[in-house]
Amino acid sequence: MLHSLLSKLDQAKAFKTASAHCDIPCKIYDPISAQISVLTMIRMVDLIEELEKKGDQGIAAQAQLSRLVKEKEEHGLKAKEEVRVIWGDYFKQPQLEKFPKTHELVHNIMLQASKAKQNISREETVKLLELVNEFADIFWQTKGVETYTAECPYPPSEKVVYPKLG
Amino acid sequence: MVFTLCKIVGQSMSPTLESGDFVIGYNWKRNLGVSDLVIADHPFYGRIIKRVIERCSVRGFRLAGDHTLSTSTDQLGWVKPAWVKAKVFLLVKRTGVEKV
Repeated sequence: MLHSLLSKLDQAKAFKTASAHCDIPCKIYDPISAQISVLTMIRMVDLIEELEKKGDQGIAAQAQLSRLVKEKEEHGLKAKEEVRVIWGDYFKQPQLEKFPKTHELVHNIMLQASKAKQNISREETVKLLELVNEFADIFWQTKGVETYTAECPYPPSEKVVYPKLG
Repeated sequence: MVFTLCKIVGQSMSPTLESGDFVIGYNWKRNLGVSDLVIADHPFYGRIIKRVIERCSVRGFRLAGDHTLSTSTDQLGWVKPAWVKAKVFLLVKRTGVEKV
């Protein structure tokens, strides 16, 4: 009865709220989004290099180049964001104690992602994939899930760390 | 004001409190101890309701939610006594009123 009364009063003039803060939390974390973003970057680099080999500088080729660069840039940002969220929201003291190099690895990913964004370089982008794969491996280890490395079944056919599920 | 009345938003104090419940606390912060429910104005999280799990005469209080999904004690950090606004003594829930 008192609850109903207070609810009605609250509707008329809202009371101050006290947050029972839970930071949502959705608990859905998976480094695959970051890995796919880096694979996309590598694919964009390959397509840009193909375009260069054709030597076509027409409007259509320029438009295509713009689209490829834009996608590469966006996926670079996405990869960074995905790694940052897992590192910032999922990794807590127990995981960091078990894998003390995580901070350094994440920082290296941020730096390497910037390099991969700044250049049209397959080598730099593949280096980024290797770092993100290392991060994925650590992530799955913290969950007690074994991993394996396999070539992704689509271009750019690069090595990706996957969890052994089921 | 001697009392503080707040509406709860969020699930971190479940099952003690659910979102939409109300609490009443008195603005008397002496003798706060472990397991007391408190309302605090956190500089980052704003006005929060949590349970005291540790008390230190120098650093203040460590707080925690009753639910495992609560923002962690480490995220909240040490809560200074000045941030604590009230000690909760009455829970006004949909299921009834409970004294703390």
